[in-house]
Amino acid sequence: MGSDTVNDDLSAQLRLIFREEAAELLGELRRILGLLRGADRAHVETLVASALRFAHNLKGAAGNVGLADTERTAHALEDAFLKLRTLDAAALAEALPLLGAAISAIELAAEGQGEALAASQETLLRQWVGLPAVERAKKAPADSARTHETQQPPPVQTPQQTPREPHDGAQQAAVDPHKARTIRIEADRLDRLSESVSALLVTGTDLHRRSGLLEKFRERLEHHAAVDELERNRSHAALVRTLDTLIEEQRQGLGAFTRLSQDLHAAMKRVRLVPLDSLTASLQRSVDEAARVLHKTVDLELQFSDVELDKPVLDGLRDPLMHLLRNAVDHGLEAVDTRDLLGKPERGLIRVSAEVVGNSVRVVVADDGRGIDLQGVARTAVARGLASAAQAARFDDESVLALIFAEGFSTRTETTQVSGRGVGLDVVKRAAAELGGSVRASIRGPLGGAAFTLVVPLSLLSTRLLLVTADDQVYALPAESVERVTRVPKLALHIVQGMHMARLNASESLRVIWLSSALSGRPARESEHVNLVVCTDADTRFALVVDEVVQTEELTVRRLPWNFAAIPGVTGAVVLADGNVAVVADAAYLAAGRHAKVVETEHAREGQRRVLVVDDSMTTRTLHRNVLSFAGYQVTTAHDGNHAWELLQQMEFDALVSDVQMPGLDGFELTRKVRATPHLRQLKVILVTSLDAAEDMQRGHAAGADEYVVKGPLERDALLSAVSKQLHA
Amino acid sequence: MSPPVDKQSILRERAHQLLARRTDLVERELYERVVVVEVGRERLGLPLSRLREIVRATPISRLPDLPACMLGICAVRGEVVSVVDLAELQGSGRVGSSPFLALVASAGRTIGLTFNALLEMRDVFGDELVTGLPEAELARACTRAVTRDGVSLLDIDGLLSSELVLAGQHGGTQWGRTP
Repeated sequence: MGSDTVNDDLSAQLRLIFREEAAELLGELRRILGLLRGADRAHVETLVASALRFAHNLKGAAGNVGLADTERTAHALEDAFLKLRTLDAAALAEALPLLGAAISAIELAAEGQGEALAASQETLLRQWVGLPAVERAKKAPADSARTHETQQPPPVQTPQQTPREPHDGAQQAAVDPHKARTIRIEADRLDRLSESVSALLVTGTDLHRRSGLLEKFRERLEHHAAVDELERNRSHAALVRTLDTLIEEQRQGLGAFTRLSQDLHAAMKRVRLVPLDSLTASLQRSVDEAARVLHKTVDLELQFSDVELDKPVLDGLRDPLMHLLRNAVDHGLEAVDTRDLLGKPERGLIRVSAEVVGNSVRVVVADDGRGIDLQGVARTAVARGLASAAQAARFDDESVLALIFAEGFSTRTETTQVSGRGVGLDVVKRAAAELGGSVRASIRGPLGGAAFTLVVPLSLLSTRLLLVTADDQVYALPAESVERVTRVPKLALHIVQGMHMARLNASESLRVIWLSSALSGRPARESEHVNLVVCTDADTRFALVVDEVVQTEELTVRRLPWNFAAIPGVTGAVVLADGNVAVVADAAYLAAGRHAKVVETEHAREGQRRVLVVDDSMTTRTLHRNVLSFAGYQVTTAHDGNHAWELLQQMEFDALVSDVQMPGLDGFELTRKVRATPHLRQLKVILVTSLDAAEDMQRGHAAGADEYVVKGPLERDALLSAVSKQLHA
Repeated sequence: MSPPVDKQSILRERAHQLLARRTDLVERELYERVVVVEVGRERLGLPLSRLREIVRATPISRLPDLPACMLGICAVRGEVVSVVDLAELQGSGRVGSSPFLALVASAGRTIGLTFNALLEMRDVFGDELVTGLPEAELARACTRAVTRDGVSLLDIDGLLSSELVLAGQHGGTQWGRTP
């Protein structure tokens, strides 16, 4: 067991937490190992990228609970996954058992079965990767030393082959499978839950009684039908009175049932709430460990007030917070001597503050370090191929800040034990998105250094949402973001400095965003009046144009399906009573105005140019379509020359972007047909092909092409430039 | 005048033929058992081993920035699933609304595939497949193989691990986007 300075109780609690987290992470790693077998090259890249994130999280978590050997094994596992990228399929398949054995060893360590096996697996992994062995306080098992003689992945050692360490008290606690799944509940919360359940049972009994009364009433009605007319007339009034009473009782019963259901729901939500300060030990330990490794001195200030969160939200918040803290120590705070030169106190300061805002909790991680160097971020993004130099030059501050959350982004060139290989902030963003929340960075926060703001829902059980429609689709807006709903004549909208504004009254104008164009990219319908939903996000207020305001409902927000991660502008989905799905809009994204490039009305769309893209390769076709769509063109695709020719007869286009080598009608022939057709003579033709010989280009121009773009690394820019040149000359 | 036809011997001969074919069937190698669906003018085979269920399509909610072949999301018995337009995936272009949704799953991941009509369930044998097709092209269309009568057998494992169905920050065809 690695060195541990926390007391036994705390250590045991931390390990319970680690056990739960490790089980999930190791499960993911095992799943990836399974998928790696037989995966193609591209798939291997994707899988290894995912595995690195899980291994990195595992390493951090192990370090935080003092499992030093396990932490090192997880680190070695990262290196081993990296090496997989360089192997051919056969070598990769041979290496998988070695990684599997390391995962098994970490599983045992997480279950409190000792770290001996993890330590030996670390040695094996390092040997296989080609790294020098690490000196540890405890002597490595003799059998691991023996394997140093071979260069091949050594035979897999099953957990049963290695004697387990004796358990101590803390480890025994960690072994109990039930303890990791429990949640502490205050007695009075449980009492309130019990009271609600009891009241619900009573109401249920009462509803049964009323059901009995209704059956008796039906018997009376049958009897009523059988009697003579005189008797029927006499008893009619009595029957109506009884029916009125039954209806009234039923109404009261339903009211009580609804109230109790809501009480029960609220009580259930309270039961699941856990104080945010239960993370204190983990966070403190994370900072201490990072500071120790980096030889920095850091004070951590936690201002959690009495914020409580749904247990799954708290669990989901742990990793992103640890990442942000490690990043603050590593990247944010300067080295001691630099701080001294800058006249800053030797001890760096990191503050984590939390507050409840409506149905969300806002957590800010701020430090008094160097802040975020935007120019450095832009340079790194260009160097890592995340953006072109031309794009980077056009970026505003917000766009540059968004880059630090891109996958694989890091301004560090070397690997560190604390922040790894640039794995980090993309994980934070994804974790926040998975909770239905968001994360934003600020160049200068309240302490003078960088600040990161995480906003996550208080509960995953349900949240209050305003349902609206736009472009024939239902959207849900978090109720806490909605200030009010109003309707104004279209004349109240005007354009100021290129932005649509709505005059709400004599003294108030707000920026207007069309929900349909922001989230579906489709222009909004125009009408004489518009429905505005006035929204707020932090300091920003804006008005959303919607077609119709439906109602407010308490609904459970679901994550988007597995293949949709961090869709801009969307935090999740809700299933409505009619079985349809409403998309939950992200007010913070809309407030940031990232969608501004989208055309917002039919009138504006008239200026959009229409491009037909034809390529028999689906990938190329899709990529070209995306490039041109995002540049603002209206794009239609065709899968070969004949299909393109059919579309050209049916629709009007301003430009044709065509591949050359296609089955049937090739690009040259298609161009010749276009040029020979009177109504298509104005069509601009851009040929995009891998044929880069001078004679091919001459053939293209002879056929009548206006531009000839050669496929390659600069294809995207060349394509955009060619289309722009032809359509905007 | 033609000689009298011996019906019994003709039927006996036919029975022998059928019996011989039956023997062939037993010896043929089963490649995959599939459900054949119609998508636009194409016929696609969905492997039965990956098919979870087929349901009537419910309204699909669109999301921003999706890859071309992704239509959006819908709910199937309370579960939110993403929906792929099979016609677009196969490069045939969108064919309008499709009445059916096939839920396919692999490695714990589920996705919905739209199609126009359910044609048949059949066994596809190894000797029915077209040989010599370029593997890269097949992989690009998430197709394992094509039968001689023109049914493309979808590679569901390949599709569910393909970037074609990924949207948002974790991948997909992102290189045209400005961060």
